[in-house]
Amino acid sequence: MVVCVLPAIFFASRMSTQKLILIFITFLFSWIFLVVADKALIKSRVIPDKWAYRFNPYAILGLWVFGIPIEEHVFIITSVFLPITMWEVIKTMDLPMEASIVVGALVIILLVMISPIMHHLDV
Amino acid sequence: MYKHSYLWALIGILAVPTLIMYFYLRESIILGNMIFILAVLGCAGVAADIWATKQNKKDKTWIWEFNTKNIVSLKILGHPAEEYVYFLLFIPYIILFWELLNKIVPENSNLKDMAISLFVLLWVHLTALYLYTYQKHRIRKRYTK
Repeated sequence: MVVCVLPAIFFASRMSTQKLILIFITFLFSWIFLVVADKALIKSRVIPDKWAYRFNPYAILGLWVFGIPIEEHVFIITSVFLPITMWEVIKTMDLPMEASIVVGALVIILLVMISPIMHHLDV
Repeated sequence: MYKHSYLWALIGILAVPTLIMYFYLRESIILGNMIFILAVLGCAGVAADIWATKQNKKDKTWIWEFNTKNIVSLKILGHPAEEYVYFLLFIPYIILFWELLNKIVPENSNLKDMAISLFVLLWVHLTALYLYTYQKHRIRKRYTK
């Protein structure tokens, strides 16, 4: 919710209805193949040993839609909305390449610094 | 499932269409903006992923874990390489698809009708897909007992 949904709502509130409908179409196209791919990779009761990742049953709601947890659907929806809405908002800025590389480097340094904390964060 | 299944799924589903769309749209894409979004959202996503993924047996707080048998052994900051590949590919894919859609759909067209038609079409296909997979699993379960 904090990482994806709230920023997506913030950016979406600044867009027109026409743009939001186009985002919805993009979402439908992306959602279908992500759900199919997820179904093949997530651990299921049918093929218990062939999986790439599995969810902690105690950490999710337990509501499975199309064979994947509802949380994964929320993640897919917001990971479509967030890049598009952010892209539209910063489109007018025309950021120089150098500034983007500097920001990118700073964010990566930040990630390296916080990753040990994230490993042990018990929330 | 094989050792590189997840990686190949990412390459097949995301890398190929992303490259095709990039070569088609490269003149209208501002690379600086793309790198900025990739850095900010990619790192936020990876940080959240690191927190949510099970790192070892002592890790009590985890939402999902990766099967070490079915992913590439390479780990960066204790996180599978595939997850980095996912963020590196998925964000540009979505932005490029969005730009492609903006190019295809003319301005002031009746988007509401188009969205409803697409929704109905996808609903029918998804329901069929769900019933097909459910039936397949049920049959497999019956014969594997």
